[in-house]
Amino acid sequence: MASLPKRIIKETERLVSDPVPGITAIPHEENLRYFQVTVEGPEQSPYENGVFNLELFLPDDYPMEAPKVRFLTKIYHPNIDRLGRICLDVLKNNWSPALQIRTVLLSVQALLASPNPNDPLANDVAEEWLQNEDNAIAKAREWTNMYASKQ
Amino acid sequence: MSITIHVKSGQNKWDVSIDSTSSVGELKRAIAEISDIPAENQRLIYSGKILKDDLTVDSYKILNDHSIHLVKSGAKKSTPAAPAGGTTGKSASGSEQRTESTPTAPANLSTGQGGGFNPLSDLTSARYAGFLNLPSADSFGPDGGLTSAPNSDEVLRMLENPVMQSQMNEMLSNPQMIDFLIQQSPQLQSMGPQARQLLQSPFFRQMMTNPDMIRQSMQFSNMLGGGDGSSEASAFPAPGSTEQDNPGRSQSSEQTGSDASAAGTNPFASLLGSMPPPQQSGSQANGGAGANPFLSMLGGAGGAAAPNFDPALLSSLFGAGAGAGSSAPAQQDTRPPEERYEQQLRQLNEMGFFEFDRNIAALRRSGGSVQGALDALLNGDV
Amino acid sequence: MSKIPRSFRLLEELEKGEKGMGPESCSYGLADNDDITMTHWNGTILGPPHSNHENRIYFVALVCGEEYPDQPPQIRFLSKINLPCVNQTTGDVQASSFNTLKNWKRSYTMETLLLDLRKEMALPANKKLPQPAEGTTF
Repeated sequence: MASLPKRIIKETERLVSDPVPGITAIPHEENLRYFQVTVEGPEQSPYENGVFNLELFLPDDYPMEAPKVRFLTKIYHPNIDRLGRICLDVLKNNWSPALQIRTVLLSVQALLASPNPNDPLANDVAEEWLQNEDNAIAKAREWTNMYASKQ
Repeated sequence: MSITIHVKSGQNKWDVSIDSTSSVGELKRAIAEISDIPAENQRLIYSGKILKDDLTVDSYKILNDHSIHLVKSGAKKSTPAAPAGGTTGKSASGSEQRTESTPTAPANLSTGQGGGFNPLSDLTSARYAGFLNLPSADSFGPDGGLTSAPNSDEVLRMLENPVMQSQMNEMLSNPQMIDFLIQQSPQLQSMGPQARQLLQSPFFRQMMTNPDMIRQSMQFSNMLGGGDGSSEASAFPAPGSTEQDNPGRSQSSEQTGSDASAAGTNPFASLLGSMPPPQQSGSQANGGAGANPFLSMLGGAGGAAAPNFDPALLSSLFGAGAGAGSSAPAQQDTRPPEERYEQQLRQLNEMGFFEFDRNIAALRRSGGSVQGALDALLNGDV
Repeated sequence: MSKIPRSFRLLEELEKGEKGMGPESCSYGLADNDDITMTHWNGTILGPPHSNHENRIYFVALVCGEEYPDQPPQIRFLSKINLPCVNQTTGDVQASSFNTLKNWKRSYTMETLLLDLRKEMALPANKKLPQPAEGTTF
C-alpha cells in the first residue's frame, strides 16, 4: 500500500493521544485509512446511553475529498437511512480540507442531538418526525435500547 | 411528497414528477403522456427489480432524483392489424426502432444468422494454417488449374497425400466448421439435421479423403439428393448482393466478388476456397480463387475423377463460405446445433447429465445419437 | 491506490445503480433495503439485440459475501436461460466456465459482472441458443 500521507498519520496520532469525549476512532491494522468508530449518543437526546458503531474511510483524495462515514448500528433518525448513510452537509457540499476526522465525528454526534427532519434522507422517518414528533422520539429511544445499548 | 424521477430509455430521457405514494401504474401513465409509449408497453426497472403496477413508487424506495430504466415490451401485443400510431409512428430513434421492429421482422434476423460462426473472421491463423502447405500452383498449369483441369491421376495422388487427408479430417471434425458449412449451403440446410450427420459421418470423411471413395461418389451424390443444376446459381450470388448487418461477415462478403467470378469459369474453383486461413483471405480477395492451387484441386477431383459427382453440390458445400449461402435466406434453416439437439439434450438432462458443454460435445461426436453421446459421456471422452 | 472497504464500495455501487449512472442494459440494487450488511442484491440484464435474448429481461440474484470485492459475488439466474456458463438446474453462474468470475479482480463490480454476462449472451456461439419461454424461472 502506498505510504500514508503525513496528515493522516498526524490525525490518527492525535485521535489516540487526545481523544474526543464520547468518540473513538481506531484504524484497521490492514487498512490505515479505514477506521472503526464509536459515537456515544448525546445526553438529553433520544440516543442518550446508546453507543453507535460507525465506519469511516479516507478516500485517496482526502483531504481534498470528505471522509466517507456510515452507521453500522441501526438508528432511527431522519437524516440517517436504513443503510446507515448520513445526510450531513460537511460530508457533502460543505466539506473543507480544513476539517478533520475529529470534526466530522463531532458533527455526526451533533446531528444526533439535533435531528433535522426538513432535510431528510430516510423519508418515512422524517415524515413521522414531522407529523408526530413525540412518537418518533419514543421510537428513536426504543431503537437505541434495542440496537445500541452499552454492553 | 412529490418527487422527480428520471426515466431513461435508449437515447431518450424524460423527467417525471409524481407523488411518491402513487402506484407504478400511475407512474406509467404519466410517462406515457410525455413519451408516447403506452403504459401497457412499458417495463420499468429500478435497482434490479421490475416494477409492478399495483405497488407504490415509494414501496420501491425510489427517491427524488433517482433514475429508472424503461424497456419497451415486444411489439407483439401492441401492434395488431392496425398499428397504434403512438408506438410505431413515433419511434424515430435507432434504438427504439430496433426494439420495436425486430420481433416482427424476421428478415432482419436472417441477414445476421450466418454470422454465428465464420471461420474467416473467427479463426486465428494457427488452426487452418496447414492449408497453405499445399502443392504449388505449378502442378496445375500456368493458371493454377483454373481452366486446364489437372488429370485425374494427379488429383488422386494429391488426395492420397496424408497431409491433405489430415487437413480434410481436421476440417470435418470441427463442429463449428460443420455448422458453418451447413449454414452457408442452402442445399445442406434444406436437408435438415441429416446434413450434419452426413458431414460428420465417417463415411463422408472417408470419401473426402479417400480417392477410391471419390470414384464412388456418384452413389453418394444420389444419396444427397443433389444434382439440381439451379443450385449452382444460388450458391454463387452476384457480388454485392448480400448486404449484411453483421460485422463478422464483412470480410467474407468482400470475397464474394472474386469467388463468384472464379466460379463463373469453373464451378469447382471455389470448392474449398473458403477454407484457407484468414491470412490468406487478402490474397484471395485480390487474386481470385485461381491463385490458390488448393481451390482447384478438389474441384478437379470432382470433375475428372468423379464426373458424376454433382459439382454444384460440392461447390456449395465448400465454396459457399464467401457469403454465398446468405443469398438464399428464404430457405435458410440456421438452427444452431443446440437447437437441433434440443430433444436429445433434454433426454440427457433427464438422465442426469447437466453439463451443457459436455452434452453438446458428446452429441456432436455421436452425430446426434443419444446412445452414442451417453457412451462418450460415461467414458469421459468429452 | 488505497483499498476501499467493502461497505463503501457497495454503497458506491448502490448509488450508481439508484441514480441510474450505469448503462441502461443492466440494473442492480439491494434485495432488501434494510439489509445494513448489503449482502443480497437483485440484478437485471436486458438481453442483447440481434440475439435470441433480444428484448428479454433476465433477473439475477447476487450475494456479496464478507470478502467482496476481494472475492467475486455469487450470482444466480432467476429467469431461465440457456447459456453454457449457467447451471441448467440451479441457475448458478459457474465460475469455472465464466471468465469474469474465474479471473475476478478487485476492481470489478457487479456491473462488470452483469455486462459481461450480457456479452456472453451475445457471443456468436451463444446468441442463437434456443431459450426457454420468457418469464420461466429456475
